[in-house]
Amino acid sequence: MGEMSRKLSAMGMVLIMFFMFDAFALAKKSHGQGAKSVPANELKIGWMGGITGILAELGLNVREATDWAVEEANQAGGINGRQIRIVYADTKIDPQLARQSAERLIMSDRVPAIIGDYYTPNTDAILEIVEKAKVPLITPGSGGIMLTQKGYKYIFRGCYSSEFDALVAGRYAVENMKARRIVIMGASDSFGRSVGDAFEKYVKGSGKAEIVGYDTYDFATTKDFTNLLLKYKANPPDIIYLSGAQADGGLITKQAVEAGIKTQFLGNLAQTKSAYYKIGGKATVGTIATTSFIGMAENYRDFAEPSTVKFTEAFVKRYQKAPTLDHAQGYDTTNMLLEAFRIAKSTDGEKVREALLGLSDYKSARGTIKMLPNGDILVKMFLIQLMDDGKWKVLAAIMPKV
Amino acid sequence: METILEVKNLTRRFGGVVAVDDVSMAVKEGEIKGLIGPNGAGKTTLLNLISGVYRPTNGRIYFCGQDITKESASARAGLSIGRTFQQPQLFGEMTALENVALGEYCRTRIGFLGGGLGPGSNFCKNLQRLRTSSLERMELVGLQNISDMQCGGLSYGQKKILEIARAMGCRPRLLLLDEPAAGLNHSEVEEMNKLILKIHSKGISVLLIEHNMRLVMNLCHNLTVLDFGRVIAQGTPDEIRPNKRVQEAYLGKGTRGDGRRRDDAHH
Amino acid sequence: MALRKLIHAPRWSFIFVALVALFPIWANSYDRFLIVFATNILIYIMLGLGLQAIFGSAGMVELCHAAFFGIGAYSSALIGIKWRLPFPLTAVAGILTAGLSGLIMVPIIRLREVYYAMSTFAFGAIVVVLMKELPFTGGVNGLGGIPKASIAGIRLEDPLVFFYIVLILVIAVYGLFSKLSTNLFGMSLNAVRQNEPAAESVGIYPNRLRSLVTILGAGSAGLAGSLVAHIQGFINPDMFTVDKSLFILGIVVVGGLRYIRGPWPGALVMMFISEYTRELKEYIQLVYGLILALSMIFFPKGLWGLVTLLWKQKAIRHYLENSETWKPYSKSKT
Repeated sequence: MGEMSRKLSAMGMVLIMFFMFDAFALAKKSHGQGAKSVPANELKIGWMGGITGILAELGLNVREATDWAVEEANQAGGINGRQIRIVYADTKIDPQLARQSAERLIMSDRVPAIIGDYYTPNTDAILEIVEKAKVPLITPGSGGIMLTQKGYKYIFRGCYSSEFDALVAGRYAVENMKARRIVIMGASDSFGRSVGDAFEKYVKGSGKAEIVGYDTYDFATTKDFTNLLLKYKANPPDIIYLSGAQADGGLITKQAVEAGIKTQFLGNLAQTKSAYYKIGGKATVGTIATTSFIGMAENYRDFAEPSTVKFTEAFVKRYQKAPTLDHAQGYDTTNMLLEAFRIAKSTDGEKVREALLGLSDYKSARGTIKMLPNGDILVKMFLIQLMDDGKWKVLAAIMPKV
Repeated sequence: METILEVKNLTRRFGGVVAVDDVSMAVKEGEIKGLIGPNGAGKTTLLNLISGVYRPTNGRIYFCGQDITKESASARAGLSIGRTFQQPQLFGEMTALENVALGEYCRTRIGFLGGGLGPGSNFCKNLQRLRTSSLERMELVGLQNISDMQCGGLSYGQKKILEIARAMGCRPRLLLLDEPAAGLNHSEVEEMNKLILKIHSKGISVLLIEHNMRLVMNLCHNLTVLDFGRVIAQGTPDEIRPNKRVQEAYLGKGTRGDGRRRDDAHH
Repeated sequence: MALRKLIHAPRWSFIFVALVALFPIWANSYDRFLIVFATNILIYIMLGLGLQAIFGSAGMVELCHAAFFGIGAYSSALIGIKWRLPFPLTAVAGILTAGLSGLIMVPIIRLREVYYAMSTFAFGAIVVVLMKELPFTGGVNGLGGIPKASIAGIRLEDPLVFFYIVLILVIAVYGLFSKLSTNLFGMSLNAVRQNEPAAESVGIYPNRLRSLVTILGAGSAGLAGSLVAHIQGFINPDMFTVDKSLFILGIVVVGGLRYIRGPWPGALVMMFISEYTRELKEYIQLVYGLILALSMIFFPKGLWGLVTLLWKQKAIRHYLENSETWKPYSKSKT
């Protein structure tokens, strides 16, 4: 083929590409999914999160909770008379995909607000986009501390900042448990590191205890922690603080006990998930963890507020299983957003934002929530301990100092 | 006549097995040399050592007086040594003409990225020349009619001849042929005979491995006989024919069959 | 398609080109997301082109393409942030660093397929670790605040402008690889893939060719990386994991492993599937699996192979109808 015809066929390909594009876009429109004009009786809200891939369980839990909250609200008449419809986007743990999804939700679906992403780097990637478009973004699980420190005005948290996990755990370790020598073992991903670093900072700042070691590992590939643990066998620390996100915590605990290391395990919210006990087994009994939701603990009624009890009982009745922190956070996040829509009586970004900032005594599944000026929430934290039968018991409540 | 190829004390071990054992031989310029011996004698290994596919464990190889022992196989093609393989090794997804054209690779003046990138580049000028010379070579071997066929569709005999046409691409001074007549029927063997003579008449020296004794005796000026990796006889066909040792090697007297070294004691 | 007629009727081709050039502008006003989406597709096409040369033509099972993508993105981003250099220069930096890292692969290239594949996998993992651990790379949270691309000091913000920049660059990269696949370089690379001993016997140096194509493929991935860095303003190690490399592999395989034009339909299909099936939730994995299984049936021709097959059918029909006027330009006539 001559040069010219080769170039033309290249362009022909490009043209084919865009014709296909057009066809798809048109097909999409005819099914009523995309909309230049939103039907007046429907309120679309965007939802972003990874429901496939390595953090899928978390995402599915959050989604389940979101669906329930929306269902409840719709049955009660919707928001400002409109039925709510959630537009979902699966972002896995790829920030590039997260950006694309956000662009699509904002430009194509024209959503006035987005719930998501629970993975901090994904949320981080889209801050700029939502800011520019004045679309409030409320995340049900991204704990990364820097999200609310960058000065963006349209980012809100429905979950607590990772810092709280660390601060509360640190305070309890130092003041209540009187530990003097602590080891941190954390996953090397964004979440693990931010919690681990914050914990280290607090403990060192308190001057009352020493961080004897800080080990990080790749949670996706590391299954054997014995060589990390054996360092401490001779002189075990008072506490090993677990700052992971998945099953790694359970493996570490189990292997530590098998190696004969006697210590108290203290963990972040990841350790409250069922995987911890399932994988760690008997070794995990006695571990203390931090959380803002205690609905799955045996004695939660002793510590919980009425709204927590109401949520937990309704959830168990509906889903026949105990709710997890993800569920609670997803439920709360969704409802906070819906409440903001109610208060603002409009879908205008700025008004919704103001409404969110105004939430100060909001009764949620986790208790009373107050929205802080930078988008973080203030919520009571609890320390819970794992009992023999795999169930949790609440030990104490701490209100983080902000 | 000058010596075009010489190997001295060439040895090649594969683990514990000595495939080529202290072989010394030479090919004179303009001659057709035959490399014969029973199966497993190390003939193909020797050819592979000469063409550079294997590196010798010991010994040296000289081509036109130059020590080429350290040169890679690709470099040796550039030095005008062409070869064919026991089973025809063609480029399966290409046409016959493309296979033959690639034979000239080492002589094509290509730029950094294979012939430049623009329309009027080196490669396009080369392309015409390549096409012409490739067709010429195909005519030489008599395959000009099938130049555009996918080489997967060629018969076994055609493939063998095609491979020779490709090997001729680097304008070889020495051509190494590995069993050119294997798998060919009677008339094809005749054609191969004529082809090799035709090639030889252009002044190209040939070293060929063959089992077809008629072909060997007809074509070769000189023979080297291998058995168990060693040279057991060298000479003209007339000298080799009555050689008892050679006959034994082929007919299998002694304990050859079990893989162990046959002891020289004669029963 | 009456391509041949177009050669003889230049006026048509101008209209043609104008249509193609103006279509995106119309699409932009229709639904702005399409342009952002199209830009992403183009990026993946660029990535696919490089991998096609390495895997499809040279036959090397390279599992770390996202690593080159990432190296280009990070070097471009770091230079843009620290030294405030304009985009074209940072892009060059991205290409060079990615290409150089392709050079690092040279000793690995000699290894046999399985060991090569494993080594590239390890390389990809190491690169991600470096992105997370090196002090200047922003760690697990990535790098933000990358200056947007700019021309003559004017910052570009409009997605449509980005789209055209990426389109031009993708066409340039495509032109390069297309030319390479049809000239002696491409021929000899394919020869090495099809029969290495035979290739050596005619004087081809297999490892030199493979190294060269790796460097080119890596460099093109680096260009894609620097584009992404400057368009998004934010990059993160999670964008460059082995998942991404496998996605790019999927693009090449689905589109047609042996064709330089394969990545065009390949990227289109893979991206459309991932974006427009979001209602399926978890079942998307099933769809991916199905697609890959289907493309195995067509393997290694892929989608572009399907296109060529259809094109040949018409050609044969045409030949039968007008045998005098037909001058076949394709190689095989049966």
